[in-house]
Amino acid sequence: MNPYIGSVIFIVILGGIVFHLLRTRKAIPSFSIQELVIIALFCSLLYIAILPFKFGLSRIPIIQSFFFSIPYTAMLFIGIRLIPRAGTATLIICGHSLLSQTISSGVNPLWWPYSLMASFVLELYFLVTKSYLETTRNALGAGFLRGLTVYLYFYCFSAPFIWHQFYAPWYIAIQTAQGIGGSMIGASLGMYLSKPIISASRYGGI
Amino acid sequence: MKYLDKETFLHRLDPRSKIILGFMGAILIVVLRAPIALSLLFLTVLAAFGYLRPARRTVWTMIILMATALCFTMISQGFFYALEPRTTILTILTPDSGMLGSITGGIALYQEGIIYGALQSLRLFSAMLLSGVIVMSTYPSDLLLGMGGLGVPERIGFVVTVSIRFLPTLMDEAGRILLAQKLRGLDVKGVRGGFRAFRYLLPPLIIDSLRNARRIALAAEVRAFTGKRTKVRELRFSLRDWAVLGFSAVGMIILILYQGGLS
Amino acid sequence: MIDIDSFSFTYPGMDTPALHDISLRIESGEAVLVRGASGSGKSTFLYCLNGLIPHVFAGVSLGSVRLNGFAPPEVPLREIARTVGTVFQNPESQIFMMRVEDDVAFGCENLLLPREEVICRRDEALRSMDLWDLRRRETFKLSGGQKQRLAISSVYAMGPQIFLFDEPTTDLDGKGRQEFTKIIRNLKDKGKTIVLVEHQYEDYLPLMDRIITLENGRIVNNSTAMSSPMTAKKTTAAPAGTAISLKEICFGYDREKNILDNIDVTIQRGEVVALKGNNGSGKTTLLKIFGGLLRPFQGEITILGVPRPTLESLVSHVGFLFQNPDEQLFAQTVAEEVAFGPSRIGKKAEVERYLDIAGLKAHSRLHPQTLSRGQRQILAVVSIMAMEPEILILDEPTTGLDRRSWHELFSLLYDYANGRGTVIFSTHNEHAASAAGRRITLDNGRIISDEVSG
Repeated sequence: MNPYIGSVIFIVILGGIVFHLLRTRKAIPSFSIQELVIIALFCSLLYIAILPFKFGLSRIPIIQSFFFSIPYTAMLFIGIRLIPRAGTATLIICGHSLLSQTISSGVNPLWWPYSLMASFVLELYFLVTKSYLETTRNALGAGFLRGLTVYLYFYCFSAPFIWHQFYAPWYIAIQTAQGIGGSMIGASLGMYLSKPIISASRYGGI
Repeated sequence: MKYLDKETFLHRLDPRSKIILGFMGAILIVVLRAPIALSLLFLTVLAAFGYLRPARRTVWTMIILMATALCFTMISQGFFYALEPRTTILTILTPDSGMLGSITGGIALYQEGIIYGALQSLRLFSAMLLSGVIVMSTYPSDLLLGMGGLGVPERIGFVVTVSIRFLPTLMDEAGRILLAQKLRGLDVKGVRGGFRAFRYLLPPLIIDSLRNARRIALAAEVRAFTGKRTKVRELRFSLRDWAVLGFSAVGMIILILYQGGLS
Repeated sequence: MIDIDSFSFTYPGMDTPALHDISLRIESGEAVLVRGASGSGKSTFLYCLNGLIPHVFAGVSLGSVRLNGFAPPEVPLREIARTVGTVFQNPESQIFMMRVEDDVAFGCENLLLPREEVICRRDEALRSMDLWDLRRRETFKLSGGQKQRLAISSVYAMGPQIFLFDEPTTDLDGKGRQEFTKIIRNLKDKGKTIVLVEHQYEDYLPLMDRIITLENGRIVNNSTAMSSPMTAKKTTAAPAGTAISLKEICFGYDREKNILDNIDVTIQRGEVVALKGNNGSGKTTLLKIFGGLLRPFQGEITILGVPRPTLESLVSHVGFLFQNPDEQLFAQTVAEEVAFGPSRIGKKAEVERYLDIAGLKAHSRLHPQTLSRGQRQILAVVSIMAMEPEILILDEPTTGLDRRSWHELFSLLYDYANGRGTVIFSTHNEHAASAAGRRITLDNGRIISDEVSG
């Protein structure tokens, strides 16, 4: 069987695990309208945050992953800190992916398992660590995990079995390291920027 | 690639058909191997793309994107080709030249790799063109409706609808904030400037968005929003849709059988 | 029919009630104006009528509110929405769909009405609100007045008998307000009950059957804090000389259509100038040209003696304030905000002095977002003043402010002009314009009047 299809099945299983854990903890997410709107706006903000990195220098794929990950992870993590619950990460990641596909890059079902995997991995991490980015350590761990899984998945499953492109192990290692580095920097940037925002929303007229 | 406001055969298809076609295309992209099969797929999608007659700028962007993808794929696969037989054109590092050599196992450019890369690019091109065709021939809210019809949950549909609706508004606002910052003396040139802009741009943009979110939520409440709603736009499969889907399914099966089944 | 009996409401955690012992009866088909200063409880009053209190906002209430026989706490929001429609201040945040007709149908869709009925109501609303020709237009491309009209239509389609308006035209220009007047008339003719909360209500007075004034959560009959018009103050002892000079300026985003046509104007140092005109008259564009943000493609422009200056060179000499103060507050404390500009351009910041002028000394260590709208506006203005520019330009500075905040803002601006330099602001508000020493009116890209008050 095609390993890619195997990976899709694996993702579905992962999702199942997440749901099961949520149900046993009686924490099935239900969002208020305001929270859904905030999440929706964050999908747009995520799109805007990575826009400048789609052109110019960062078009060179070799270093693109690094530059790309920083604003993406930063914005994503700010969003999660504002609504620290199960499902926020999934809605923002998948929502942004669909948004981006619908209005610019084109709708391609091949990308959907990828977003789901990125979401489920984070959700599982938060469930296991019992913390939704409450500490910087938690955030760095999340960033590390995100960079690791997303890039490894791309180079070990998407690339070889969808696009039939192969890369040497050392190259994969470099790219994954960049991805991890960028994601972790983004994570700390996000934590840093979220502090004034959260204190403003707590005390202000928002 | 943006929606083209035209009336073409593709426009008149149900959005669900187009998404299903996207799935079929995805399956073919993953599964096909024979160069002829790949080329046929590419040409079919290219024809659909051309049929829509996109704007010159879109065509140009596509060409540039495909060209860069082609170059990168040829070069990367040229370097990473790992099957025999292979002929070396250029050697950058031999396997026995020190630590780097042993870690990497040598870096050399292989002729077969370049050809292989060119061939595999067809997959990438087909995917880009196909997804472009879907987006150019389907209005975004119809596309979301179609996805909803195929099983995407309502909440995600609402989230994406709102995010599409407010994207241009937010972009404008980001532009204004950036301008206001420049006028207060903030230096946003260069890479450091870029990061500085990011750092100062985000808090006001996000806080204002949070404030807006509250207003938007109130407006949704007074419009009785609960998540479920009847839809004015009805999705209905017509003969046209069945014909296209049937045709494509047959074509898909033929292509797969041609190369000896799914492997 | 609305029947309110000895109603009081207190938000959680607050000591004083937001509404105190309100008793009121509004008959079916009446049009009532509710006025009062910011914080007097106007919005809270509306929320008690449309069910947002208690379904969305918690709090302690005493007394009763009944609409057409039912009490909001007993009925789900979705049902209340069929009787009471609410239109808020900001049109942008009341539009959900990309196309006009889809947005008008949105409310009806949420009511889970059958498809045919949704279409029927949608089309009737589009026609009644004069949006039929615009029904396939993208909502992003509408003007402010049209967007508000869309918001109203979307609520209208749900078929409520009672319409609540929470400062619906504060963000609109003269044209938008005219359109709104037509809508109110339309609704009255259809026998709808209207409750309108507005600051600048003079235009709508003839249509109202009753006026209710709220002060500190109570209904009062006479309020004196409302009516003093602002008079133009004379500026004295300003440095002489020309601040900005424009000769035969033309500007447009594409060569076909000129937004500004043959503008000739000279502004002297020390003047306080109001730029009037509707949206689309070119007033914001002219303002941006004054500030060096846009460059005309034809004509001569001199700012502070420099012909055709670049934006970079103007940064510490021209201060430009955009409409939304929240887009211009970047720091984490009020004091930091005031110091932000000067420190970036290498000037020593007289933070204490400017905080004092702004009346924000007590708030100096607080986050800017904790201030009220009026205070944030003043903070944004003062943060730019702290850079001590020779010219201060403000785009619609009175948006969203009540009378008292205006007075504070304008005395601030006048003191600034007296001491240092030139102030130019754009407005579609008559009262604000009357506060300036000089009034320039634009229409269709041309200056049609330029008067100095004696």
